[in-house]
Amino acid sequence: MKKVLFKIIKYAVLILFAVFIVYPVFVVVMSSFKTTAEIYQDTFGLPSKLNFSSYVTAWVNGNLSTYYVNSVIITFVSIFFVVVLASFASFAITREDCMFKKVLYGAFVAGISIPYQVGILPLYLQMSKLNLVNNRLGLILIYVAFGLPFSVFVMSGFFRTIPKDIEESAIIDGCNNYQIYAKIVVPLSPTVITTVVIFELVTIWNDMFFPLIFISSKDLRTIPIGLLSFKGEFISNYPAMFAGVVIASLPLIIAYLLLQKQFIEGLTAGAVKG
Amino acid sequence: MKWRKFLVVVICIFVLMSLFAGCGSKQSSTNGEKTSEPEKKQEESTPVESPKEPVKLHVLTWRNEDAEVFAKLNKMFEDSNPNIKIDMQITTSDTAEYYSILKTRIMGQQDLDIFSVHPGSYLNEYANSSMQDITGTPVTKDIMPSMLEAGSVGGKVYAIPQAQNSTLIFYNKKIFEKYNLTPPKTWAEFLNIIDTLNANNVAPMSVGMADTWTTIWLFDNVQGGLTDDVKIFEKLGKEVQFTDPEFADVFKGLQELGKHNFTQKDAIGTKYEASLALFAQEKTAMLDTGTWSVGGLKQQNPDLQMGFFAMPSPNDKITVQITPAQAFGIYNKSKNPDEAMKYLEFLFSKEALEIYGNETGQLVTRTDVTLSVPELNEVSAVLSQVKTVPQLRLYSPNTKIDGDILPAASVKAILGEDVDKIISEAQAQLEQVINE
Amino acid sequence: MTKRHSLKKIRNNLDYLIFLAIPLFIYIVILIIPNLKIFFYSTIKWNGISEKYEFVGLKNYINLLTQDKVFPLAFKNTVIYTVTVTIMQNIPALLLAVLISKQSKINNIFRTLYFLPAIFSTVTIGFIWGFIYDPNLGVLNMLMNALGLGKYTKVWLADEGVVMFALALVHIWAGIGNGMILFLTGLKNISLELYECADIEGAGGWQKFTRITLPLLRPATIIVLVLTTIGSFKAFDFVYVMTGGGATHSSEVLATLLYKEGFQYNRVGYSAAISVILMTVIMIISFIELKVMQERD
Repeated sequence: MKKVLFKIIKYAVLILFAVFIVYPVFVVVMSSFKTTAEIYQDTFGLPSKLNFSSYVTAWVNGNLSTYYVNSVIITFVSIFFVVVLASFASFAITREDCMFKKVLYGAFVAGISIPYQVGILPLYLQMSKLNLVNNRLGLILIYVAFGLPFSVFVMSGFFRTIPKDIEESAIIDGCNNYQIYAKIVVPLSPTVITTVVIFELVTIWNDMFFPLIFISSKDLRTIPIGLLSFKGEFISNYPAMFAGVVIASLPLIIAYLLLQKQFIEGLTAGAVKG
Repeated sequence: MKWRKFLVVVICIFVLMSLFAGCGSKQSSTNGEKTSEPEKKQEESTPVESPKEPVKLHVLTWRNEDAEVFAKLNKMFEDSNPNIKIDMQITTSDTAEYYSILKTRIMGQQDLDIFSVHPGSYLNEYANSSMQDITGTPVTKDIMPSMLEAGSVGGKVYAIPQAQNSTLIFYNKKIFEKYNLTPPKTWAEFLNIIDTLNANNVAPMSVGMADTWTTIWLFDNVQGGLTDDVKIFEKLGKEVQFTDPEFADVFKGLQELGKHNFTQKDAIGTKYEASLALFAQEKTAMLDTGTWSVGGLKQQNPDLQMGFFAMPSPNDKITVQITPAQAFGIYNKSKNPDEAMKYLEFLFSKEALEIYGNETGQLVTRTDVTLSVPELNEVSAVLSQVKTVPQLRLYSPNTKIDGDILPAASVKAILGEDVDKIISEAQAQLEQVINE
Repeated sequence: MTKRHSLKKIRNNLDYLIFLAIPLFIYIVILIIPNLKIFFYSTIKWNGISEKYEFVGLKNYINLLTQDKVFPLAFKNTVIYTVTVTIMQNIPALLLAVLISKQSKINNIFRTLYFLPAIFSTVTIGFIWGFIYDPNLGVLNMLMNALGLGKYTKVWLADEGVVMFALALVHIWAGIGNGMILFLTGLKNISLELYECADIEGAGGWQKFTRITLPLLRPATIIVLVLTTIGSFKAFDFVYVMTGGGATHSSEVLATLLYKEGFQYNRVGYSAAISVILMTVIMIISFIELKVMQERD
């Protein structure tokens, strides 16, 4: 009896919370089918008819086909390097006998606390000196550098929880550091790696700040810049913007579903009972 | 063993990186455009051959609603100048965001040839250190003198505004007829309109005070008739203070409007666009906005019948301020100043400005252009009956004054805070800014 | 023995150096070196455009702390925002993570739904919530009126008493999925056997939660806690999109203030001084959090 009651309460909470979470998302999707006048007249009602023209506008005027390719390249390459390099660094600074491990850890965590706004002036100068402005590689390097502190912080936090006896027995078996990294630490951390991938994916895919500043050529721009083109100084095309948001978010939803599978396989090893 | 293994990884990484870098520039060069990397190298090594490659001009501006017009104009320019390519970046219209991008480009001295600025205190900051003096060049020949003045700093022309607007009161003709109201000629008549509408439970005016920059228009409209000194802002902090009647009376006027409940409910939480929507939906009888809004309002409600009038000031004088829109100038460290000038000349040619004005529904800045936008005729008719002056704020000595101090004080005045306190606080902030 | 030990340590550290070489290089060249300049900027008067600047020493800091009326307000707002987000995001995130950690189809659906907001860009989120909070057209006030709560409606994004909480709610809405995922990652490391032991000893659900889940979740909790405090203390996007700090600075936070000072009002030195203060406060808070949480191990 008590158990049933608990279940009812549990699902009531979960569903209520889901409504709170999902409703604004629903508004975005509905708005993409409306006209501007409809959005303001009846923001939260259903569209009078399913109007796909905003999607066409978003795709064509927002130049999303080109920007999609750019976003995919930049996001994937950046994530690859963030994850690989962050796992290298986290592995090193979580080893017991690593010198300066506290300093290094502190240095990486300090990176999270830097407010990036004013720093873009010297950063632009630096990238300009390195000839990496208006260039995909430059943008990727920026994402890697700005993704490292967060990723190292999360990864090293979880690498520390890997039981020491597993590593010790590996050392007795004659494993060197590279083998410990490749055969023990990484295989034991699919969940953490997936987590970092999900976070970085969302961050980089949606980022508007860096491409706006570092990319000036039309054929190198990314999706968020395309969406921005519907927001004018005094006149904006909101239906097209929302349609663009839906188009831009679809790959993320698919990627998240795929990653979640991976994530949950990692989870099942030790799910909580209760 | 382990070294070899790791070396392989490192080499793989760098090969991959260079691969992607290569693929980036390769793809863009096939599109006829190139990244800055190869461009620079070419310039350094083979300057003689460069005429073969088209020159790329980087243009930075902020009006996304004009993207289609600009695309059309840029194509026209490229067609008649096959050796010049225009790479126009239209960024966000948010001032802080726009100027953060402009500042980085100036800092890196890269990817910038032509850019737009807001005339006035923004232009003041950029003109001397970063813009080319274009005084007396052919491009300025047929531009209205008042607009050239708006693009000038210290008597030298640095930028030319593309369009000019004025903020007027838009009113709903149906509602005005229903309550037997006519456009006011005096401050008392204006207050009377507000009271009549309130008595009939009609929200008098849409105001979007949640956006800082909209409240300043009300400030402008109230201030218009209160001073005959066009350059009053230049004297601010020196001969003229906020405590002087030219400013103090504005805050008092705004407070009086506030006391008469001239806005819709909760205007302080309404965004500019929501305020337009309320007027378009005929939920409010008036709207204080720029003449650029006509098209957007018609689009939201084709049945909307609107008229325009200029707001009387508390001393019953009516003066409308003409606001220059984005002004274009040439970056003084542009690598292609001649081509940049060519583009500027095209942008301000009769042909290009005619297209720009007709398609964006804004009055443009050449003396010899006539537009065929019906709504603008009505606006011009209103303007022809009143005194017009260039926007007073153009001479504001600091962006913080018109961007922060004035709008904040105006909002507080409308909300009914003690006027003397508002004025003394604003004065303290002014002194801090001026003395710094 | 000790010699061999230290030799091994040196050899190991050479390996670590190789691991660290590339990440550290990129991190230092792109993030650290340019940002160190902020400290220098904070001692000059500079408009960010001209090549000329004037060295003013600590004057920017002194002006900020003694003369500026907006800075203390922004600091207070930032603290309110941070405390609200840290508490109200993490407790529900933890509870949700525990409730849906079990592997099942329905939990998969919930996990996906709860993460959904995190997928959208902050600009989009800010815009949508701006709609929801609109006093005349927004759904929140309409809903409250319909439910007979009309007298509690507020101008959510302009009322000084509620605006910071209204903004924090959006941050929470968008960030709860992130917190949940990190907690789920932490839950993975808790062995199932512990719960079975507890079952045998007849422990109830609540006891299991407080005695097993919470203590063993500490590594994840540290991470989530530090990330949310830093994230909300630096908060910029939502505030900037929805209120821009407010017409009368009623919702100004440190990040929006420094952005406007630096780029709109051309006071880069002043803006850098705010950045340095912001950075210092964040570092102190995260250091304390890390120390307190880790010491209990």
